[in-house]
Amino acid sequence: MGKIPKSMREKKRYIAFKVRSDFKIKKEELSMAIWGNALSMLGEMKASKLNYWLIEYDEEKMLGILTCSHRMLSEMLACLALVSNVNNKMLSIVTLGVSGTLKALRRKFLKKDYPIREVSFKAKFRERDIKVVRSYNNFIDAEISEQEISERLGNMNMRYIGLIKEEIEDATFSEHGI
Amino acid sequence: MPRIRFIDLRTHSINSIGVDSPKRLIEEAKLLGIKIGICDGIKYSSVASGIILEARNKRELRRKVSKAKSEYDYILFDGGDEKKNRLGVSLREIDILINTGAIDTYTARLAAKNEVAIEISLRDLIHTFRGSRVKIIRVIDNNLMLSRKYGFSIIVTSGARSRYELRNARETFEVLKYLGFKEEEALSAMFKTPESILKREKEEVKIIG
Repeated sequence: MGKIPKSMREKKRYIAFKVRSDFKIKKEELSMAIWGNALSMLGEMKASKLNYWLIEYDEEKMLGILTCSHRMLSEMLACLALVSNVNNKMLSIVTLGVSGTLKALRRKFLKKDYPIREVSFKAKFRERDIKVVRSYNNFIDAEISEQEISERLGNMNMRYIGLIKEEIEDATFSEHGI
Repeated sequence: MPRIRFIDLRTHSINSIGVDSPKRLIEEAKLLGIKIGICDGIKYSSVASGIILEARNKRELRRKVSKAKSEYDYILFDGGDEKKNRLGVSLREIDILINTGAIDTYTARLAAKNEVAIEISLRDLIHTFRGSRVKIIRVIDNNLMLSRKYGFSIIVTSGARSRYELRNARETFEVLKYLGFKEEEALSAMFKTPESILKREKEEVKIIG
């Protein structure tokens, strides 16, 4: 059987996205979360028209590209917005941009670097003991020892509270390489 | 594609039931290109602040509302069953009725008359699957149908308790479209209604119904 001519092939849309989570999310887990949500939300008939494929995903930067049919772009974005959990790890997928070609997508949306620094030092947040574990942009993610908030985090399948640098007391960020 | 903007009037910080500081939520919202209001029952100077009220009867509600209206930018009422929902739409000072479930026609009429917006929370959709998500979509269908008939406003919120539950404008718009909202209805639920709530100048307490 010959190939389908180019003019008859289905048009694709490429979506650049960023995964946000307190956990490292593996490619297989992410793919499972997206596909499971799409299948449950759209049903078999519509999911078959989605033509979804996770093209690449950088587990360190948590950035990726997926493709879908151009006719199903709206449904794909709605599915991505409703992904919230995989293997009891809370995550969210933020769409960075959509393009018709991979080249344009990389140029427009994936040039920026989003480095997450892993650090480890103790500090105070409003007189509570915390342990700072991650830093990116102006943001700080920290473990907290207060039981009520730890339980809250556990119930939400999260590990860290979210703060910004200026809220942390007793810490000189340059000492910790931030 | 129209310009899509989103004002999310129901988020919670670590000061109530959330896990992030208010400043972090504001910064995360900026990155997502949305504006937020925080409903901790605390008045913040840097962001729109709301309070969620609960009451057993009108008298108690009036007392709480009169205390809250001068302090907060907007007032939410926690509904649930028929009685609570009706109570929540009985005062013009209430801006948003939350956790409504499927409302009835009486509540719909009163909500339209008193300009109380009915909430749709993305959090309910995000954290449910299959059967329970189907039930929530049915509730949204019911409320959307009544909104078209009686003319009350629908407002969409994230109900976020963490930074990962915030959603940007485009994603929210697509979810609403998928739920059966027309383009204008979605834009109104995301931006026009919350904007008018924040701008609204309250009249005096007036009980109807």
